[in-house]
Amino acid sequence: MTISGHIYGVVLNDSVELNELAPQFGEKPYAAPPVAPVVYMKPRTAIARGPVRVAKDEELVASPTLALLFARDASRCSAAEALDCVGGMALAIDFALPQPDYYRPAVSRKNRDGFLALGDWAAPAPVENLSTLIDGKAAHSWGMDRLKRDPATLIADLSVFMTLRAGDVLLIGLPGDAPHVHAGQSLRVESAALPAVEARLEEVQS
Amino acid sequence: MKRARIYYRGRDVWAVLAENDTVLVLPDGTKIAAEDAQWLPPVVPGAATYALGLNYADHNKELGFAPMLATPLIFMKGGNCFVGHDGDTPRPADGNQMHPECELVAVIGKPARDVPADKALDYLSGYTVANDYAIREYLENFYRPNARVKNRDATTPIGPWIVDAADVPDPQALSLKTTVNGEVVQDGSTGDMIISVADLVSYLSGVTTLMPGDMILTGTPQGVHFCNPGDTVVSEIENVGRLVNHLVPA
Repeated sequence: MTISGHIYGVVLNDSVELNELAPQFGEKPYAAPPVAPVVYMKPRTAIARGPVRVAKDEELVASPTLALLFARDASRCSAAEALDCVGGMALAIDFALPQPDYYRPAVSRKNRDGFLALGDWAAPAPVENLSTLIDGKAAHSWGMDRLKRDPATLIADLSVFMTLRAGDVLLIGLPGDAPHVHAGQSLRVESAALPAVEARLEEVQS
Repeated sequence: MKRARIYYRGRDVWAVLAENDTVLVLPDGTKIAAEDAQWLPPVVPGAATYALGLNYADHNKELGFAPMLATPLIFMKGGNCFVGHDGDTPRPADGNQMHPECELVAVIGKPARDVPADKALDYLSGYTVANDYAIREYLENFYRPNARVKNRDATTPIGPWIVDAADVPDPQALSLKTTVNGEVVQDGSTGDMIISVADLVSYLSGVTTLMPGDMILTGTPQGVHFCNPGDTVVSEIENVGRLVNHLVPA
């Protein structure tokens, strides 16, 4: 089995970013801090099959994250049960055009063909840190202890209202300080526990 | 032609409607009465589903939004949302502001990438009806309308079938209607869409490649009516279909 369902992701699951944005949450357009996990989706056409194509002066946000592949349906499960539903893990790079805020869904910024690089699937294992190299140089690092909801809690909180089904994928959160990249650059995300994922950004005529 | 996905003797199959929609013909020629069918969502598993918010001027006015947004308000939905014709949808005990939204659904027929609006309808294989329920208590201002409102299990009835695009020559000239226990609560026309079906296909095909079976729920007209457990909600679009849903306590 591989991805046969949907690709879900969450934003605002980085406690560092949440602390930075906290003063804004009481203002318009938000009015209140987020309560439920903030979910987005990507179509399967977003899975990269070769270089990620970008226009000449375009800047992308490259977010290193972890992809969970569900082997069993997760519906109304507790955090203690949640990881039993996960059958595989992979490192991932979620690409998006920069977004000014989190008010409206970001389909036009996140869904472009090739905007999700996925590494090879491996057995679920504890992951502590994701390191990103750009053109071979260390560019970003984030510890999974920054997650406001760890994967088990995130699955449990989502499964209250939506079933994550066998064949679905969940991207567990994006760092608020993710690097910005442009055409010509190469990325590699590493973790001790999982195969690395790489992506190359190639210029196309816009 | 109309094609429906049904559960029949241990498997899901696509069947064709015949005899004024009273009979379903299975691929092997078996005929069953439509009234006996167990209807499944006429959706290809894994299909990407896009849905429009605020795409009818009268609905925007009713909710206090501008007649036209600067960028289209589009979100995605997962297959967990869907439930077939004559199925049940949970109505949460604290969801007192749960209201039905009758929507025309466009189904993509072939890969569409950077398609101009004047060619866009050629990329559709058909249309169906959806009822994209909203529960206003669960709205939050992050990726609004957020998943807790719009990606709940079994809260998007869809169907009963897909009607061929060729049988709907003008998707902008269809009446839409919702009744709750027989009372009309939405009564509009697809002619009042802000962004037309063709423009939506064109716009989204500029963002990503739309694939066969992918769907676009094109928004709903005015008529916010809060529903209760036990209600029977019927969403009907002229020349497309009549979709029945039952709200059950949850």
